[in-house]
Amino acid sequence: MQTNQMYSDSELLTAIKTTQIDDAIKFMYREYYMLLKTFVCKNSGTEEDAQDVFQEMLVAFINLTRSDKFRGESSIKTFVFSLNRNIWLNELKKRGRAEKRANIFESSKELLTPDVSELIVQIETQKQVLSIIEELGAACKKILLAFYYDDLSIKEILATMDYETEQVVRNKKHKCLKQLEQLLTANPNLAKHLKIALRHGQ
Amino acid sequence: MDNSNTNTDILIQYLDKELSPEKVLQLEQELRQNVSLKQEFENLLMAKNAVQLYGLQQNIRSLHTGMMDELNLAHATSKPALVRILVRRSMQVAAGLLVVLIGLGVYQYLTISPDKLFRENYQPYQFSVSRSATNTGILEEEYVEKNFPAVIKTFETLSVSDQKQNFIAGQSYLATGAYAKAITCFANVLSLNKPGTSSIFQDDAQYYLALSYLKNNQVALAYPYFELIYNNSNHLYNDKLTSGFMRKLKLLVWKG
Repeated sequence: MQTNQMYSDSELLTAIKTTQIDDAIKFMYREYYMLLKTFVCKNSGTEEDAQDVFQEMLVAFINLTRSDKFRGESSIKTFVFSLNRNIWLNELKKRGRAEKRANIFESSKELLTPDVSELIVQIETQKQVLSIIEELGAACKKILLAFYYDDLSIKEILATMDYETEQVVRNKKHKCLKQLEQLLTANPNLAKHLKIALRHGQ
Repeated sequence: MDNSNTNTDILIQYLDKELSPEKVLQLEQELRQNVSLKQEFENLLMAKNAVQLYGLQQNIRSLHTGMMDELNLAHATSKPALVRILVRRSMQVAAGLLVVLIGLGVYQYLTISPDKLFRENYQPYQFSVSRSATNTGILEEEYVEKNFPAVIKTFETLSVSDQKQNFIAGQSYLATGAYAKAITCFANVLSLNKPGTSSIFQDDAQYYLALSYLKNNQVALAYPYFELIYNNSNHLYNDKLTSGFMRKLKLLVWKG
């Protein structure tokens, strides 16, 4: 029988920073999704809204953890609840539900941290980046993901794609990365926020 | 291939950690001196980080559907199963239902105790690891190591304490059976928070203060906090309190 991985807060942070990311994501769904969904659904959102917000929250939380910007000042449950709530408030704002947003804000402002607005800018930047990457061709996305996210070697990538030699794969990867760089830097304001949002401690 | 493309290729090789140590040294020196080259490297690094972010998003999306199915299945199967069991059992014991209910009520009345309710709901609070050398950092490290006497000793040397220090000390007093002191610490957290401006550990302190009152046999004082948490769906600990728990709590208040 398959058993679900359980984590303490510190173990979860470690799992997120290592290769156990799938188990960590599943744990977060089991542990937090129903609670966070209830909040969105009770505040003018649908089940689909709750799912979208939760996914955005996960991307933001994992990125913050990996870049050491979440330092454990509060429990993970408190932090993700606050993050989820603020993403939803921001979404309501964009949808023009000002009155509803004001009511939720009044009832929840005590949980906001001073740098929440900065976090929201980062999350919005991340969303723009993700939509820009969609402009790349399918082959480019596949090669870049295989190399930079799945950590596959050029040789391993060659085995899964229809290219003739490793050098062809390498050239294609270089071209794709350069193309992405140009897409991202085409908007200087986005590039500025992006460098801050995606800094991984280099 | 022009010079610009050659530079880009070398920068990407550097980014991918494919350059020899000699070439790394040479390039790093150039990066320190050549602003436009450094700018291009930062842009490529940004593109690489963007790919990793995209990979993370795709990873979450690929797990999302499966997790929704799992969570929905758990939700859907638990309800019908419960209904079926309840219907079957109620048919079987229809004639004696009233007697059984009365029996259960009497049994619950006789056996329910603050200690039992506390044990059903108490879980020690977990902190993330902190490596700060401040008083709070030391308290937190000692707490993470479950060295509660050390936490208490450190806490009692502090002339002034903030919300987090009181909260950690409260947890330690609670874990070591010093319930009255735990109550004082959790109440301190609430009084140190200013309504409308700060709310550090507010929800957590309310929940553990209620539990401490319960464990200290002060059910009437615990009840308002539990009621506040139960009635506020936005409270962090709202999902910890069931209607069954609240019923038992009312029974305890009534029992005196």
